[in-house]
Amino acid sequence: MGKYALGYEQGNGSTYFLRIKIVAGILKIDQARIIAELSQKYGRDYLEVTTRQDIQLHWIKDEDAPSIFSKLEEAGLCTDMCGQYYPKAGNGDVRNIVTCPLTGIQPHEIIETSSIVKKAVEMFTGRKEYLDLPRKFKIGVSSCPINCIKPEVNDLALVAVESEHGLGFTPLVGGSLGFPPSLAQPLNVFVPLDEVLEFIRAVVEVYRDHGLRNRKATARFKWLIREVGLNRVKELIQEKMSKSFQYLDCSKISLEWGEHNIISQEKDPRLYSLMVPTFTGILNVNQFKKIIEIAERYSDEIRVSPAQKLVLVHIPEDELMKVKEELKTLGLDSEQPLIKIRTRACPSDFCGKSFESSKKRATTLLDYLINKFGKDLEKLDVSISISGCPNSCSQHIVSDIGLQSTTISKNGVSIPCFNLYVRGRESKISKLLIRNIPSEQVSLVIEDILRKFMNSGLTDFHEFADRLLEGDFIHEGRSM
Amino acid sequence: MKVEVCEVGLGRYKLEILGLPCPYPTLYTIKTLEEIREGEVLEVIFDNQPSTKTIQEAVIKRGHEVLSVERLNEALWRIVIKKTSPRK
Repeated sequence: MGKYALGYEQGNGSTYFLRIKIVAGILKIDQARIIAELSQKYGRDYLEVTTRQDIQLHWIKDEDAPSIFSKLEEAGLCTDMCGQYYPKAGNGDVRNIVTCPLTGIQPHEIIETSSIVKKAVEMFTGRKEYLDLPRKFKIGVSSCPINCIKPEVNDLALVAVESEHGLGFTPLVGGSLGFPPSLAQPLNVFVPLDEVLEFIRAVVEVYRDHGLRNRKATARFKWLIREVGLNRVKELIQEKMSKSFQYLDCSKISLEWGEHNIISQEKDPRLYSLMVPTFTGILNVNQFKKIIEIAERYSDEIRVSPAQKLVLVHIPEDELMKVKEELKTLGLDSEQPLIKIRTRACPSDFCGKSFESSKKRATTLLDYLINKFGKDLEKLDVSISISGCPNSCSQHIVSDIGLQSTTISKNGVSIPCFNLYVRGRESKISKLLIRNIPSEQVSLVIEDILRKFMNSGLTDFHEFADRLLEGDFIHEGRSM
Repeated sequence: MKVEVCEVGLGRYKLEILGLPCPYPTLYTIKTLEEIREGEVLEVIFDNQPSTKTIQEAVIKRGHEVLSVERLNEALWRIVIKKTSPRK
């Protein structure tokens, strides 16, 4: 108890989901086999890769939970505690700690993060003193030169630095994408490498001991920071650790976000990582089992990416084409346009909070765009994310183009719609561009935006988005 | 976290399950029902909202009778169940 739970949901005929944490995004082959077995036996052959490096199964039955949990324990795997349905603040846990899926193998990272993440997970998992946080607590540890995990979307982000104080991390606190979205703010301090675990523990304990528990809606860490201020939070962390931190100007640290290429050369220049383009994270168990077979030819692990993808590692250059072909035969073609590969969508058809399926909408939209633009789409480096509600599980609120499902009522009839957000240069949080686009018009509106971008002569979508936002485009259900 | 069963009257038991997420409230309810006799009554007190639905579904599926479902306060529920299927 305290290491395993099922999440409750009310969509697609499923009552429970199983969110398996893949610690540091590193899934051992034996663990992958057990997940495949669980999917086959209990989860209707279906799997989802999430934006927090979890693998999620649905249609789980409560009576099967003891057998499933003991299988997971055997495999050294654990789950989220999924306490989101308690009406009051409390019962929150530390969610899967997100880190770059290529840690340890990519050539340009400053610090290998998987050992830190594993130790941090051990520190919190199943420990009674960390299972009653005011709400969930999300941590991201980034040493990736392109900050692929979008560190500041977390309650606590640790970004690796090599500074005059040595090797370590600089922390940012208070990120959360649920309404109202906010990004973690820098504490402007340096945390030495050998103190980072103690620091993570101190921040979680400050949240546990001082987080606002009077209302669930204001119980996330960001609200404590709003209430008492960033400096007070810093003082509380320092009190907890009985030490002061050295100043580090975070404005000098690069916090630009990027996405990894389909193929990345590893530290060992003879070897490569290959992203498996699981569209919006969906896989069937036969695909997953074949991926496991391919992966084990080169390694004893598969990496899990917060981009809702799997990554095969340690592939020699001369094998890459063969693996790509094998994946293609599984329906996982890495030659698809980047915009499709980078599309993310939440499992709204399962959670029951939404008016339509984000993943199905993503399929409809991308099929339409590929049909309309053909080869021209391949030039576009734009990300699209679709969420079923303002909780932003697909991270639509920090995507280049974000869609959030909603409804409007006309003559007593609910009409499914989407709010459309775009991300400009000024902030990583996207801004509302068009409200209440009827669902059937969404593809047309996105086509129009992309066409205007292609014809604008601009190469940076964020610059183009600023232009869109400056215009008078926010009209009820109006395509541009 | 709290899981506690006690006898509160003749043939009447109380199961408190607090701070436990799904599926534990349902599993503990089923397990406790297996321990009591046919005709006896089990009151389940819990704070995990989805269990209002999942406990009822699991209990009915196994042939027991749900006598009442009550919200005691903002964050606490009580389901009263009569064991009607034979003791296993």
